[in-house]
Amino acid sequence: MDKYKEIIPEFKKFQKKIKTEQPHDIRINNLKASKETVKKSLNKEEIKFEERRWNEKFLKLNSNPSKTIAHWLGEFYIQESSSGIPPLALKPKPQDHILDMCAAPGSKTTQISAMLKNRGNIIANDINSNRIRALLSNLYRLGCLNTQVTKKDARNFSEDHKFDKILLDAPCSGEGNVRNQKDLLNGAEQHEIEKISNLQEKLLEKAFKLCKEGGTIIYSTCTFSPKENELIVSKFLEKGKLEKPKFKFDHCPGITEWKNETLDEELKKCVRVYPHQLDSGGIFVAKFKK
Amino acid sequence: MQNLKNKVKTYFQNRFNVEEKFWNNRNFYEKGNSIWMASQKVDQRKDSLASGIRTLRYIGGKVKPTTYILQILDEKIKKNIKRLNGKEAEILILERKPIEASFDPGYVALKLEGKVIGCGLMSYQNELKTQISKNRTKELQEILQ
Repeated sequence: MDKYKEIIPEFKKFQKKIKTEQPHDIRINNLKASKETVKKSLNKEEIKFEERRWNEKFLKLNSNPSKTIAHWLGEFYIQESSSGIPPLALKPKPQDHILDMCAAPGSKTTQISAMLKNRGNIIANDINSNRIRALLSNLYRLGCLNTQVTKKDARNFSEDHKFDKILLDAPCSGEGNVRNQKDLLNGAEQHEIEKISNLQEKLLEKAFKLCKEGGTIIYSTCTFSPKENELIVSKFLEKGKLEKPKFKFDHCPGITEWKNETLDEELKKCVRVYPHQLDSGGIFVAKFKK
Repeated sequence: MQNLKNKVKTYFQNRFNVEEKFWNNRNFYEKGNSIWMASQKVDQRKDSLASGIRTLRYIGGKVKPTTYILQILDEKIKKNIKRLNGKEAEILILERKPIEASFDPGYVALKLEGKVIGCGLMSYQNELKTQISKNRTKELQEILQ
């Protein structure tokens, strides 16, 4: 990841962290269980845990909890805590009509569903049949009643109805998952980045068409590449106003300089989180108000 | 829709003694030989594959509760509950064989370690069989073994 040396702060810490195993994080599913209930279940299975101080819904575990009854019953969802950030930025409300454009397998959809306490109306969309099966399975297991699933290429989503809030957690090169995918230690291949950034731009363009005036769009990726992050966001600064989410945890602003090119100052309102900041994965978030 | 709601309320009241108020603020619709339940504001798009959760399946002119709804109901179920001990769980779930029980014929909520895990079927021959789907059972088997 040397190519990102100039944009990642405390680069040596970052390099050291990405060579370590990612912790096992879980998100308490308040639709089915309280934190106390989940802690009791983990204690029974002799799985040690600690609180994620910056998000009370997450616990960091010392081992994989997938083979437990509590997991089978949907009392918690195995989810990197960094990936829990985009729904926080979305701030869903029960009266919102919400679209999760690339939802499968459903970590953020189920998180939004739980944040709304099963109220409201969420459309969870994905293009891939196998991933939709996983999405449905997760929605049922976690007891999500406020969600309906559609199977479409999000670029062709009907514009008959518009949405108050849209989450576009875009397909990306996934560099933020490097702790689980060591083949990414040198970063993603440039041709992959180029290819996927075209798709990301089209998806964000569609998000703007699907969003009501005054509505909110969250564009997020789990990659470090500015080509997939700030350079995509910069193409839409005239369509929507960027808002800086108010996060209290350790994070960095969006970058305003890349490969000797100066970018719009507004991009500082984006959020970058690196693995060494929250001891999790990497995430990028941009919040637009249309 | 009101008919479907009444059907669901009546079934769960009679068989499992679930209070009526649980079903407030819920919408019901039919799809794929089943009754589904979703939150009140879910607007049933024509292009949706599924909304909410499958609650009752139609089988041979009768209805069967799904594992998912029984898990959601959990402590709200007050009747026809089979609390499985370790040996019974082994036979019923790991071996998928019937166990002896004494309930009125019909569906029963299976409880393990204090939590409802799914649906069983009580026959006229005093036999209780699991109705948890094979896929979900396979996952549970890996946990219990």
